[in-house]
Parts: sequence; structure tokens; C-alpha cells
Amino acid sequence: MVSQARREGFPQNIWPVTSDGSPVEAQLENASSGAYHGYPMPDTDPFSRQVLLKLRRVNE
Amino acid sequence: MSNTFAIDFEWLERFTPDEAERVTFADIKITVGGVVITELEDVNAKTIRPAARLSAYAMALWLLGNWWRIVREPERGLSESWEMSHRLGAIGQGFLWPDLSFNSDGSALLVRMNATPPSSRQMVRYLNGVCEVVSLAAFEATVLSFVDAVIGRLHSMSCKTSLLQDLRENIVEERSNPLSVQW
Repeated sequence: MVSQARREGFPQNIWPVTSDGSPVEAQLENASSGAYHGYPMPDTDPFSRQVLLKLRRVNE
Repeated sequence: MSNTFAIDFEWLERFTPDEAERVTFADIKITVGGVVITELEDVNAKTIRPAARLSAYAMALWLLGNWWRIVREPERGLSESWEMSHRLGAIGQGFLWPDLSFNSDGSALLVRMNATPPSSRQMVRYLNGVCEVVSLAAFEATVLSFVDAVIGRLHSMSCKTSLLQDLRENIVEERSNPLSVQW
């Protein structure tokens, strides 16, 4: 899952899911190199459930 | 009804490329009905602190961006949209926000904080839960005062973003318009 907002062609945010099913949020840190800074999304972030739901729909 | 809703803060140093976030990183202490809901255990540092290290800019933006939904919209069955606008954790951006939510009936706010459950593996564990009714006037005054402090900090540090100031002005204008307030 990626954000619509982009900088120099890179999505501002991406939301991957780890192999053990944990959602992660990553922000574009360096738009020249396309480097991201990522961190796990806590259960208290309601958007984490949307990330998991989206992944489930894609995999169906 | 308790009127106590307070946000206290101390600016901290942080090294991050985002200028607004860098200059508004802060130790933020939130008190609801006399309970310090940001009191936390830092598992790594083995310390208990009254304040959480968070982005004051991100918090101020979220509070203003969701202003009317927070102060006017009741909970009509939990939905993703409602949670994104009423639960502080929706701010995200890599910070461990307290699990704090605001539920309005149009004249008062039910402010609910869930302590971090014992099963959580988070390195920062919020210790105090609370469920308290806060007057809308107290909430609005506290939030606007907090936002003004963040705007002042941005100006004093020569940070050029005007988004927060623009949102603040829009809300002041809408609050002065009875038709907007009645929504």
C-alpha cells in the first residue's frame, strides 16, 4: 500500500506488512536516493487495521 | 463535570530532516481529570516518566485538522473513519501515541484513555487509563493554547511552514460563524 503523495517519483509513505503479519509504516526520508525510514505500527493506530485489511483483500 | 484537560510540554532536541518536526519535538504531558495519562514506563531505560516524547507539530495538526469532528461528532458505532479522526493514535508517524480518544455529545467530551495492556511488547507502556467528561470550553481553550505555543515555536525557530497557522485562522473564522458551529 502506498500514498498518493509523491516526491521526485517516490511515494511519500509506504505501508508494507512483515512476513509475520505486522504492519509497518515508512516515510520517504531522502527523495534523491529513495531512502525510507520505517517503523512498526502499534495496535493503537487505527490505520494499522486498514493496512492489514487491504492486504487481505489483495490476497483473496 | 470535570474541567481539567491540560497539555504541558518542554521542547527537546531531535535530529530529523523535517524542520517542523525537528523544532517541535517535545516532552508532552497530558492530564485528564487530574490523571496524568502520559505517565509511562520506558522499558529500555527502566524509568517511569510523566511525559511522552512526541511531535507537538503532528499533534497540533491532527487536533486542528479534525477539530469539528472531535468537538461535534458523536460515536455512532466504531468505524475506521471515526477512529482516524477521534483517536490520537491515528497520528502515527513513528511515535507511540497514548491510546486517547475524544467522543463528543455536542456540549461535552468523553475523554477515554486506555493504558497499554500487559500483553503489549511496546518499549513504551502507558500506565494510566481514564474515562472522564471534559467541558468543550476547557478542551477548546487547552487545544488552542497548545496550538498557539507550537505556532510560536515554529516562528521563533524561523520555520516557514504556514499550514498550522492557516488551519488555526480557518477554525477561528468558522467558530465565529453560527451556521458553521451548528453543523
